[in-house]
Amino acid sequence: MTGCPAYISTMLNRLLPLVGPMARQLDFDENFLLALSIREHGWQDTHNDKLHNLFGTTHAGGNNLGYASDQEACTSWVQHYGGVTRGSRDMDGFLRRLRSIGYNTKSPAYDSDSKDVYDTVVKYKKACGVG
Amino acid sequence: MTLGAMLAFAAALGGARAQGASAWTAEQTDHLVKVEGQYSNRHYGFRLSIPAGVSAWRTAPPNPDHGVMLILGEHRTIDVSAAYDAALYGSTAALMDRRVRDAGGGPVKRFTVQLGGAPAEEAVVGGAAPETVVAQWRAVTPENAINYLVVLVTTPAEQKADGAVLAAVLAGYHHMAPER
Repeated sequence: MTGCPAYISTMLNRLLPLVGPMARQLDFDENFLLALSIREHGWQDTHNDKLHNLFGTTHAGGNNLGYASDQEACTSWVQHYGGVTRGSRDMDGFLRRLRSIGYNTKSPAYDSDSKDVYDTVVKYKKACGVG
Repeated sequence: MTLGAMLAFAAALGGARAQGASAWTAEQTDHLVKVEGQYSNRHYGFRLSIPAGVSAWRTAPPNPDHGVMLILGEHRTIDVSAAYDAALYGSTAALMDRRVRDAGGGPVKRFTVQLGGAPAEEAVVGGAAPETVVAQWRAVTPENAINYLVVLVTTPAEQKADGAVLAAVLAGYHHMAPER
């Protein structure tokens, strides 16, 4: 049986109030965005926490972008990626749409890893009684 | 068919092949940025030298940057990447199990190797599109780890030559402290 580690519960409770409204606005499963954010941010990342960088977005030169708040990071994501992902019906389609605008390279591991993160998110939302 | 017609046919076929290879490369590199000389990723803490004569590509900002894709030829790539262990594989062996499952069930040989001076695992997966995978799971904090992967996808005919390029990539791969 899966337990609910405190660091996982903390991250889910932090992200859900942010990504839930985004997913409703863009008409897709909130777990797509939850999985994407946790893959980019990690379950616990002090560097990205300081930057409020929930989605791994970067400056030219590769450094991660900094935002004034978590909400600002979400607003920026919707502005950049909301149009292409709107209405995604499954994780495969969500990833394919992001790839179509260069969100990631065609890394052999990207899709399977992202879908495994999705499954992990769903499992821990249930185990932690979140969402 | 006359000799002239045969030469014209051969030229057209060669042209189509060249166009096909270029179309494949264009599709792979669409929206990406070319990398020259060296690739460095401070967030995940690794860098590598790009072997001479190999084109290398990364994502453009503001997209996330997980690594670099080296194109050796049509359907022949080396992908060097890192990501948080958000799926909670929890070990190098479990990470490699997942990658081997992805690689499609050909015969597998697994070895212990070094990546950036730290223990890693290498798997060679046979088949029509042979893969060589080097995987490494490293803990960053008690609750966070990074998965490092180097994946060569090649053809049986080019496997040996591409293996030499992979060896050069691994020799030029170094870890740095990830940003914290």
